Amino acid sequence: MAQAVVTQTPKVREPIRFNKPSMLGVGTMVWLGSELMFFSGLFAAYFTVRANRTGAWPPPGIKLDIAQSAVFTVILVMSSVTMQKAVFEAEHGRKRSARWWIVLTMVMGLSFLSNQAVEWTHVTFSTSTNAYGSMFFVMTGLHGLHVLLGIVAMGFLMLRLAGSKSDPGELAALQSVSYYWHFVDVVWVALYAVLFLIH
Amino acid sequence: MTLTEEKKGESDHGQAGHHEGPSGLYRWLTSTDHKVIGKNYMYTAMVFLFIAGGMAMLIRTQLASPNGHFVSQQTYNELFTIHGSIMLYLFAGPFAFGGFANYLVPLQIGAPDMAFPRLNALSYWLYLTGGITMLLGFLTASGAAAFGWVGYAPLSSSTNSPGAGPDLWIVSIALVGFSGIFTGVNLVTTIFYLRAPGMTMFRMPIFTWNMLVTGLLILIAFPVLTAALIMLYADRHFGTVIYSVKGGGSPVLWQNLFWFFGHPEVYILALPFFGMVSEIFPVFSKKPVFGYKGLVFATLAIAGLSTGVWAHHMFTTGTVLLPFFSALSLLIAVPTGIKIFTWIGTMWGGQLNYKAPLTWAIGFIVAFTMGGITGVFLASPPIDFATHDTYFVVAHFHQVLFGSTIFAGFAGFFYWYPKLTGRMYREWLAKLQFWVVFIGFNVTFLPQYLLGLKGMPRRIAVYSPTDGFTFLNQISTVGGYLTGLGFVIFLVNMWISWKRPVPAGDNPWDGYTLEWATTSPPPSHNFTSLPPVRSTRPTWDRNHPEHADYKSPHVTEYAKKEVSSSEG
Repeated sequence: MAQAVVTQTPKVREPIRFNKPSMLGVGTMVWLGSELMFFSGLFAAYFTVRANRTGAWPPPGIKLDIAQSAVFTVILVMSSVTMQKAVFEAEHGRKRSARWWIVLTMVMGLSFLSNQAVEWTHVTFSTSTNAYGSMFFVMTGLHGLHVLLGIVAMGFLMLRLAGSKSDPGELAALQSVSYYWHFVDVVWVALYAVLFLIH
Repeated sequence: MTLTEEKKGESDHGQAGHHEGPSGLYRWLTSTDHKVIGKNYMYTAMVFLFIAGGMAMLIRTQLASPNGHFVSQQTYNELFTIHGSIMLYLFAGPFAFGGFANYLVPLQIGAPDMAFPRLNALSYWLYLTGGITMLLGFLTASGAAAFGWVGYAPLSSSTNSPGAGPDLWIVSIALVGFSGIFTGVNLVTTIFYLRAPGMTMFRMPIFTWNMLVTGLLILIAFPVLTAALIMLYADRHFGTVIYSVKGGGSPVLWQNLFWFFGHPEVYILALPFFGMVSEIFPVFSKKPVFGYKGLVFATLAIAGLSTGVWAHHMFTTGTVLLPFFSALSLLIAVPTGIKIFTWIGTMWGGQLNYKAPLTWAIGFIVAFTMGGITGVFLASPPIDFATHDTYFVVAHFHQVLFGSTIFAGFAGFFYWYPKLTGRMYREWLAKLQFWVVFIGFNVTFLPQYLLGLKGMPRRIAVYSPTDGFTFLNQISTVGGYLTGLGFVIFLVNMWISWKRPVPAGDNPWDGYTLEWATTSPPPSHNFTSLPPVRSTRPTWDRNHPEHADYKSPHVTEYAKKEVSSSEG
């Protein structure tokens, strides 16, 4: 009904148009506001636990590979760039190219998740070692779940973009997934700073 | 996509689609129409109201005599936990925000449906699943959750509350929370995106404004509760130590997170009902609402303040900054007072039409003001220290919540019942129900203030004959039964109205807002034609062109210009 205007002329290169955001886009942004509050709750818990500490922070016995995670943090942040590239390509009507950028984004997201799986099995502490350990697993776990759901959403997006029939909603769907993906990436940057860097 | 689905529904059911035919159940299961989903929400919430009300009767029976043996102490704990949880999570919020908002907001802004109809259906089914999940706790070996609707750590830990009942409670509230978040996203987007031409933000009905602000509050508050619940579940099952002192966690953290949700939640429950009476007072006073912008800004102020007062539930923990939270809590009384005065100002000098909706709405002002003023008492730490966790608090929040959800809720229900069903309720039964419930309600809760001041703690299953609580408890129990009787009258009213229908007509109250400009019940896409929206009262303007708002000398220059351009 009230969806974004889709550029249907692939041959002409047009500048990016700043259309009224689609209804789906508005809904996604409103929902991401609630997601922000969700992660705020987790950060609040983390900082409460940190404020209750008796000694050093993180507590003794917590060892994390800061450099390795930094590499995958950069990969996740770069996946925001590739996702946005997919949006730009689709906005210019280049669906095929957009699909490949989405595939690249999915691969980068999956590599981030695999690193997290490796990290979870290699850390020297568990959920019950102390409250830091609890928060580490809860926060990275819930964020990882969001990354996973983003990749699943991109899978559905690929199916939708694969169709040859004209689909007036597909650009709005792509834009909305991109909003979500940017949000998940930004949250990770904050999480990385809080869990790995704060002393 | 949705459009075609709805069109299909239209052709299947046509004009008589409202009445349950053979396709009734199928329609109920598959509909994405906001009116069907809104009614589903409303009726489901009423079923939960009766379930939890029945539990309240059991609780009052247990407390009718000292050393009561009516139920065991464990059962008593389960009863008050699930009574509170149902009333707050499954009745009050979904009744107003899932039911009334879903049904009325698209009608009031002139939209054909919600922004995301299928998401809307998902919300309802999550809500129903969550509600049933909570009740399933009674079927587990160790019984339902028994730690109060607030689920404080460490009482809610796996050591102190083992078994599946508490887990079902956690999952249930998470599901209902998701349902609320999705409805919030849906409503906020609908209001931002689907308003009819001419329906500017400051021409929206106050009801829609309140629902918008409620939606934003839900988006702020519920996710924090979800995060807290996930951590509670992890503590119970995945060995985390977030809410336990050993390992460096903090039990008070639960209270902080819970009340960061819990206090906005109080306004999530109250604001929709404020919106309902803000529609009823003007229509039954034959006047426009007094102080439209005052009401809007008061609503926004209440919402803003409500996110910064959570720790007034935690004064006695000794971990919060008393002056700050006390001052902010007292400040909330200001916008709330503004609202009460705008409602009185709306009635002032009006031509009052004492139909059931107005009677119930006035009952709301009385009940809510009493509860609100005792809330001001409780916002000051010295009084709170003396009365914390006593029946004084119980009486306070029942007067506020019962006052808004029942008195304003039934005012709204009777006001919109003709629109919902096309039928009229029986006026005398609605009034009789009002007086029975109003008297019963006050007889129940006024003695509880005295009990609280005498020192009776809340959440106890038994008290001693020597405590001096017996007489007041007996009065309270009698009042409770009387209130229960009032709801039986309601069922009789609905039964008669269903069996011997009296057609209500499209606009029985000479209403102001757009929902009265369509048929009762409205057709699939709500409107066949929309009146032009030139003021906050488009339907009034259309029906009374000689007294139209946009012709009044108070109208803004902007609106005048718009009228002259559209007429010229």
